[in-house]
Amino acid sequence: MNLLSPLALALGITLPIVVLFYLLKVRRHDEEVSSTFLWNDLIRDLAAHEPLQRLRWNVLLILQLIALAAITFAIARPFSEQLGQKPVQAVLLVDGSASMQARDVQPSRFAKAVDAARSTLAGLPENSLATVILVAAHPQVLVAATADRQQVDRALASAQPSGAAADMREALLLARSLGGDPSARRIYLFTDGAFSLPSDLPDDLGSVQVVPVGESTGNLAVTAISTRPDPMDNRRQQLFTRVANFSDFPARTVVSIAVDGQTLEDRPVDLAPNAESPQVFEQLPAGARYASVSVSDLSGANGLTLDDTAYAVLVQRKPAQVLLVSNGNQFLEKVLTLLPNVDLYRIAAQRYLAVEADRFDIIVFDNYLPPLLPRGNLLVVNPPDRGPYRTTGSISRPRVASWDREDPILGFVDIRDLNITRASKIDVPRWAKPLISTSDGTPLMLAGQDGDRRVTILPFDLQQSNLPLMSAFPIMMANMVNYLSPPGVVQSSEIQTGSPESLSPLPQVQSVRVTGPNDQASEFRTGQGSITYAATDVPGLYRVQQLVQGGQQTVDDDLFAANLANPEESDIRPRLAGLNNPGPLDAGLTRLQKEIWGALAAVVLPLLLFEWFWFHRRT
Amino acid sequence: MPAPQTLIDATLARSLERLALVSRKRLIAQGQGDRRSLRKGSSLEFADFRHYVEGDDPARVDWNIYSRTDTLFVRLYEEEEVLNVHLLVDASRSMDWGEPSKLRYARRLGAALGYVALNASNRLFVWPLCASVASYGPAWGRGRASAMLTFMDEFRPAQTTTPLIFGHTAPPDLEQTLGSFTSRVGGLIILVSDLLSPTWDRALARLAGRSGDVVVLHTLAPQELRPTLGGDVRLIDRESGAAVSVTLNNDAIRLYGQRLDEWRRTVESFCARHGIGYVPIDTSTALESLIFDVLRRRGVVR
Repeated sequence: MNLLSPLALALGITLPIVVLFYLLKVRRHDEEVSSTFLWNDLIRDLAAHEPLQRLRWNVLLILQLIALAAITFAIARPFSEQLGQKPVQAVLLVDGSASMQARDVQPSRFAKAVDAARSTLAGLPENSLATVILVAAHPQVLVAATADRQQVDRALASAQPSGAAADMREALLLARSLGGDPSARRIYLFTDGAFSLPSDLPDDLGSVQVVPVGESTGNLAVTAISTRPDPMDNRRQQLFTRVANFSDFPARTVVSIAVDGQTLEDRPVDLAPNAESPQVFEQLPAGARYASVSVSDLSGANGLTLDDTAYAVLVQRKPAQVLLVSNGNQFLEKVLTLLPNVDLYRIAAQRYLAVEADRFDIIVFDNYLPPLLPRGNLLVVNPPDRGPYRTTGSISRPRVASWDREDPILGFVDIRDLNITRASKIDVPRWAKPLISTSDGTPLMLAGQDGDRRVTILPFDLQQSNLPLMSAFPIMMANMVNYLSPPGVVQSSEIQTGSPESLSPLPQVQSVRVTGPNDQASEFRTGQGSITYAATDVPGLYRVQQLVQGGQQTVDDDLFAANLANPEESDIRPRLAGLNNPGPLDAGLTRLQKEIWGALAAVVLPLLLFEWFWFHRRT
Repeated sequence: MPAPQTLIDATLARSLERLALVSRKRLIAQGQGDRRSLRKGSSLEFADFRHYVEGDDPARVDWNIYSRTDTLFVRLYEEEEVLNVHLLVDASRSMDWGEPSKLRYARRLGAALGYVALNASNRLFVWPLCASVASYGPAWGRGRASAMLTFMDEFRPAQTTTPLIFGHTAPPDLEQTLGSFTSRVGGLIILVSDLLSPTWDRALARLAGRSGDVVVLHTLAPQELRPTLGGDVRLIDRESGAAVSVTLNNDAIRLYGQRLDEWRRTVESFCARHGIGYVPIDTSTALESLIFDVLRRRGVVR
């Protein structure tokens, strides 16, 4: 037997000190009494604390010496060497993707995976370190490199599956980083295998053991949902959806649509094995806020219920209030009048200062700019030389050399044949991005975010070009109005579960409250810019309230929907192959130092309790 | 007669004039006095009744009782005789302790009883035990009260200091100090002492062996009855200088209390066995209350 801290034996000096205490005389003060006649008989009974010149052994002294000796020895950390399995660094990856909520095994695939992780943990060699990673949209390290099995157990007990697809690649790379020394690293993946192996995995993952849970079972899912305004009636919406059968057997299903919670239609749909079926529901009631599509199975297995319903928010955009400041431009007037969702107001340039421009969402300045720009978003056509946007001369007959086809403003727009007689050479402001340029870089169209305001600039007179006559003009104007229309608080009405939602609150709003499908509400104080809301793991509708007056008053109430909408995740049949590489499970034998201070502590504690009992028994 | 303020005041003295000492044994002494003799006879002081036997004087038959009970009783009368009263006041160093001092209390008690004795024409002896002087008396008659009080106030304990080393000069124990009680005259012996001596039993037995009535007034200070000491102390015996080291916690005080009660019960039963009157006294009790209440109830005075 050896000692890890032999210097601690110096504490043995306390033993003679204790003995010394027993040898020391108690310092007493003298008291004269009439007689000690009556006290003499009591000395025998009161002699417990009698100061002694000579050591008198008593039980308390012996108990204290034994306890002190044991404590001293324990602090010196005695250990015995013995052969044992080499400790490993185990990384337990528990798949927390949506498919793990399937209940083809009871109580669920995820619960089984946690059980399997516990079993693996119990089988690890002594002194092994364990790391637990929950594989979700973003892998979460629940506990890192600890030998405390109870801590790992608590982490496993607290783990919850998400309603989103998991990023297996990121999780494996994280496991590789946290697992330390490759020779001792053991990665265990507890998964249903309902995903395809990421193609770009590194080769040096080392030992990866896949522990499968779940069975091969079919599933029905709503894999897509989308809405758009009805072309025949702008106030009504159409809904497009797709239901899929991830099974090797045909399925008889009923696809139901409900609007604002009221069932509108039940539509029987037969699905062939491994097939999907697009469905369109038209003429949804005007004014509805949201729709949901559910698929229910009449014939067989439906492993995962999470993806049986998908939600869509029926966006009712308010018409944009557009002010056209022009001394007469028929093209602009006509196109703006024709665009849906636009309420157009016209005013001559010289009367501009008489109107309250700040209440308009979009102000279109044609051949005119006021000295002070209004607060709304701007479309500036042919800005004058002197004004907020500086020009440096002009260019004759510029030719379009390039345009940004990816920009939403130029989506579906072909301007190859654009001819312009004369265009101003405008200095490109810091915030602006040229969308159309000539070969020498002179911008013919600019757009960008100038502080709180979106601005688009066309530095030429429309009437000096053939743009208004091109078929691209109304499309470009529609895109432009869309770009300049004030956005709602919710950036995307539908997102995939696990994806973040960007929220842009109104300037006057003090806080934003988001209430999830499980009625759990989170409140955020608004500051600069937008809020990113990431707790979208649960599929369903999320309500976004913009609050003022310390959260007492709601100024705006919006919805967004989070749907799994992921065929890869809805296909819950195991198909993982090629990852399993258990390697040598036995890391070999090594000499282990087995400390025995715990046993010493177990002896000392009852000894001290007995000493306490003995002392109080006598007094 | 005025009494010195130091021991008994005039009010107490006047009250004491109504009292007399009681001897439970009827004692034979020489000379006529105020004391009843065991020889019941013809003096006018009634003592008891007994059945009439042949030869009794028919004049002594109580005819009132006969008329009610049809039984003949004769009345017995005591002869008045002089009673010898020995006041033994323990003046050992252990008595000179306490608050109030036990010796001071014993002086006042002795003075009061001596005053009662002189008033009742008893023959009074005062024997300070372990003191600088041997004795006072015999004295009788009220005229000697002043001298008796002076004596009672002035005798000093023989031992004035506590020995520094135990066993160096052993003070006499209680039995040895009784050697100074040399009188062979019987009578009422009143011992005022704390009995804090290993030989207390032998001393009492020696007194009981004398002819006469013995009363022990067992005088203890409140500090002895209810000690207020605490902590780790070395108790020094005032008489012998012996030291006892002891840790005085609640348990120790409780044990002492038990031991004290046990000892007082032992003394009391010893006295009962030997026909000795026993009165436990706490010096925190007012002297008036002790004499007129306790000693009256215990039959020491009437």
